[in-house]
Amino acid sequence: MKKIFELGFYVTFGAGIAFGISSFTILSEMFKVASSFWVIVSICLAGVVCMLLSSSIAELASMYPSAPGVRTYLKVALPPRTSLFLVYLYLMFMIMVAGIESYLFALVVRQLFPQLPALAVVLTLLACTVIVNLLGLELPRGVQMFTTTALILGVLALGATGAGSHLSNLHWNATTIMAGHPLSQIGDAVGSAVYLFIGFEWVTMMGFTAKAYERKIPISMPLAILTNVVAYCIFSLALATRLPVEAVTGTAIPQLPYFVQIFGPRGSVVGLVLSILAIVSCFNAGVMGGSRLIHALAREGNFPKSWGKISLTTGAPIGGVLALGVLASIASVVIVRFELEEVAAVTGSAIVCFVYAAFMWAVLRLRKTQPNARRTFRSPLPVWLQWALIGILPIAGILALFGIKGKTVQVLATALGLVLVSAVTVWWSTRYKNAAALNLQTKTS
Amino acid sequence: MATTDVSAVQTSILLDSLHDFQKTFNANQRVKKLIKGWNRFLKAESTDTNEIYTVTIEDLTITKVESGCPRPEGDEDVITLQAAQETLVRIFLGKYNPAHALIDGALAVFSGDRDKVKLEAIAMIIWGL
Repeated sequence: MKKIFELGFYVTFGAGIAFGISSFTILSEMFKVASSFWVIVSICLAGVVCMLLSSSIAELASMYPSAPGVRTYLKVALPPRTSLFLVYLYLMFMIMVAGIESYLFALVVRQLFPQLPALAVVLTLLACTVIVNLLGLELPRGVQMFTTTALILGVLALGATGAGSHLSNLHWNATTIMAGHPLSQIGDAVGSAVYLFIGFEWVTMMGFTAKAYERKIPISMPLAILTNVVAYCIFSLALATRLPVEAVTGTAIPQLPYFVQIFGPRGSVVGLVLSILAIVSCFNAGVMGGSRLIHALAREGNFPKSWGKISLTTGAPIGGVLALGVLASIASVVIVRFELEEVAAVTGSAIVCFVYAAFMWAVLRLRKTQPNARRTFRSPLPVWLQWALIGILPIAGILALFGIKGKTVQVLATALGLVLVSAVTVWWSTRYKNAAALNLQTKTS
Repeated sequence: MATTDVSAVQTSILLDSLHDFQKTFNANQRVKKLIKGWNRFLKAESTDTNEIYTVTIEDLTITKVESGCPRPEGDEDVITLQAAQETLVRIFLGKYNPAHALIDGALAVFSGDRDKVKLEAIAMIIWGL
């Protein structure tokens, strides 16, 4: 029973952290560049790529169990500046996700309470999350499992109910499927689809014991991805069968018009309930994870010392939580002000494609540099396939940047801006760290 | 001819470091504020020498350092620290920040997220790491 609970926790954690409100936004984005058939194919392809990738991550996790994944895996395998650069990009992605998720939550809330200003809802949500984390309150494992299970079962049930009797509306036949350059549709959609699974790898920090890294964690990641593939595909079919494409692509929260179509005006309440479940399982864990990453980087000397401050009464990483809260609030204000949720999500997806490729590269490098290091799990993928994925993932990421028609300049400018900020932060961190070390040396002597 | 029971007098640098940690920990008043209501078992597992010791934190003090682990597997009050002996010794003597060791991949900690931060906070208070 305990073993089933443990595996269930890993699967639901991985699936839940990847399933946010912004997942629906990405589905809407995908419908802009691909027909319903190729949307489903792209989701499955991205899922398969992530499943293959998960075996490499499982190998890294078996070498460094419980370590803060993105920082440790890249730090031990790649040159210091390269690894720090990728970590900063990943951190910025997390900050953007906090901004996107809170803004989308505000959009859902405003369907029921249109008089509420979006920014006020966004900042209230962020403030509540920050306060909960400052107080050191942790979501019990059972609650985390319950919210994710309820969310995914809810999406599956509501999707299947809606799609079930209307599948003939899809009009899938050789002519419709092959129309409009299928390869180009997949190319534009797969990179974005990777976003739907981002976060599954965070489970590698959650292992109950060292033994979990031998089988349970490696199995839990593909299971979590598979769960989400099924949920996303069924919901995409439901969107395609019950709404005209313009209704899906015309909003960042396509789940709302769908629920309204099924339940009438009460559909907005269903949308709100699902959004709250997504916030509990994805947003809180993400904010907590992001603050831990900032805390770890500050303790390493890469960020100001105050960002690594810990509450002496609760043990909460208050410096990291506050820093993330402030940065996420700034990101939210920018996203709300310029309605950049789609741009930010697609840019984030591209960033993570590069980071995931770096994980696979890290595995191959470590096999060369540390061939005898303890590995309780070894990726069964042939080396040529790993190299192929190292090439494919960045290409998918770059193609995703060109996926939103009419917003390519904004997306490229955002991506370039983030790369620049990361590079400058690496340069600043290095100087800051050196200055701190010199200061300490002077004090000691 | 009488023989000496070698195992009885055998010592371990890891065990010594844990006893040192016990003294430093119990003598520190500030750390007591941090661990109010925090009763845990710190299980130190050396991956190269296979030694296992458990440190019991109970009612604001370390009451026991014992060989092996008396708690059942899966007990949520057990925090397991797994590393090479030298790394564990350096951590318990305050020469290696456990947070750095975790990031460097030299240490594995199996516990809740908050317990990890708490351990780091203890190191910060005791040794100013």
